[in-house]
Amino acid sequence: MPATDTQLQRDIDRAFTGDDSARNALIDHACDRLVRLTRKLFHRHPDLRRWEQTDDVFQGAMLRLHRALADVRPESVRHFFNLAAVMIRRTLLDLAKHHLGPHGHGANHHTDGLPPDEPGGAVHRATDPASEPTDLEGWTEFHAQVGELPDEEQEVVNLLYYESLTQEEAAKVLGISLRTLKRRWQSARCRLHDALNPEEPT
Amino acid sequence: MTDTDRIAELLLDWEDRREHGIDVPVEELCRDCPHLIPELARRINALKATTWLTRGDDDPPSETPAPVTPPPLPLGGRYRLDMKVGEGGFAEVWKGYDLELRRAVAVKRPKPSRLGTTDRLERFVAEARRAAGLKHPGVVPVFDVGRDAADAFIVSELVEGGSLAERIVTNPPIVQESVRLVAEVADTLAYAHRHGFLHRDIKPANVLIDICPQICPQNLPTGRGDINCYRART
Repeated sequence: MPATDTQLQRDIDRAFTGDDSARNALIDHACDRLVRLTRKLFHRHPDLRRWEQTDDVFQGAMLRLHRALADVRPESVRHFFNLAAVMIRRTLLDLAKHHLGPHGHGANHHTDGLPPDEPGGAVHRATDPASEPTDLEGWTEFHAQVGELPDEEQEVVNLLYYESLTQEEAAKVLGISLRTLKRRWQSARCRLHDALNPEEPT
Repeated sequence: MTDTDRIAELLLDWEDRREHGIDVPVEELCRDCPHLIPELARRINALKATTWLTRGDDDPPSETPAPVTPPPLPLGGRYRLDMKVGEGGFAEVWKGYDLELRRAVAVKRPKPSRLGTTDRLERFVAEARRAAGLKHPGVVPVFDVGRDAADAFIVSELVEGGSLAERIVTNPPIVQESVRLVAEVADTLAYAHRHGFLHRDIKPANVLIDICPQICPQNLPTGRGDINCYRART
């Protein structure tokens, strides 16, 4: 079960005091986020969805994430969250590349999805600029663009999107005011939108 | 205040009010600074287009079933737990998958509520060692054993035919088959007895039927502890 905000807030507070058991809870939280974001990644790919949590690659990614976070000794709660978010992002990119590569499941497989050239198939799946990405390519580009944001904005996206913290929790982790956090969040979203929709008139 | 700062403040104001259901027109926001209208409008459009980033619920709507808990991490980095298939007083048995050898396996592990002492874990692992010493067609072979600080598990062949108790309910064996099944169990028990094992709970629920079909009595306790299970060939 994902932690509730209250639980997460308590875990964060305990982690601030150096409580190892709290860190384990945060690791579980990060793994939970990876599962949810992976589901999102493959949601609109019915031809890939059945692999999303049974594939060895995904299991391996979960294991690596867990081990890496358990092994590392972050300097602070802020450092921990950033590290976890970067690892989650890299894992999602790896998963997407794995499935999109020339030998990936997604390259030639349509047995349980619509044929690509039929209505609703991959060829006809258009990206709506007002909604989240609808295909693996779109998600890959999104995650890659987050990595290109200025550090301060990337950190906010890490906490709010990849780690699913509330704005209040994120502000506390970063040691900034809620207003500053909101400002960075808005700036990051505008920048991401511009990067992902370069053809739109400005 | 620079134009950049002013736009940032106006955006905060716009979003705060939008969260309360009020979509303030950009012209009204920029009443005192109309030259900022184009840039502010562009950014408001960008924020509207990225509303999906702010959703609290990351689960895709409608098409997918309710959120699931994350799958357990592979035990020992190798064995994925797919489905619990049975449990007793102390341990539970899962259908699992060996990621290295890519085959289905059975994984037995103590119930979380029964974990506690190192001594218990030691006894559990010792059970696997003793069972691994038995070599008989009716004994389910132990493939592996693993443990960490607070957990332990035994990996063995997966017998997928269900228990004799289930078989009696769904498709009762005829007399000849019943005789054969009892003979198989007896043969395996005799083998176990010769090796110092004594089953203390023989009953249909503890006899597994292989799809061959072979049968496999489970939970063979001895004076020294329990072993996993065994089976008899026809």
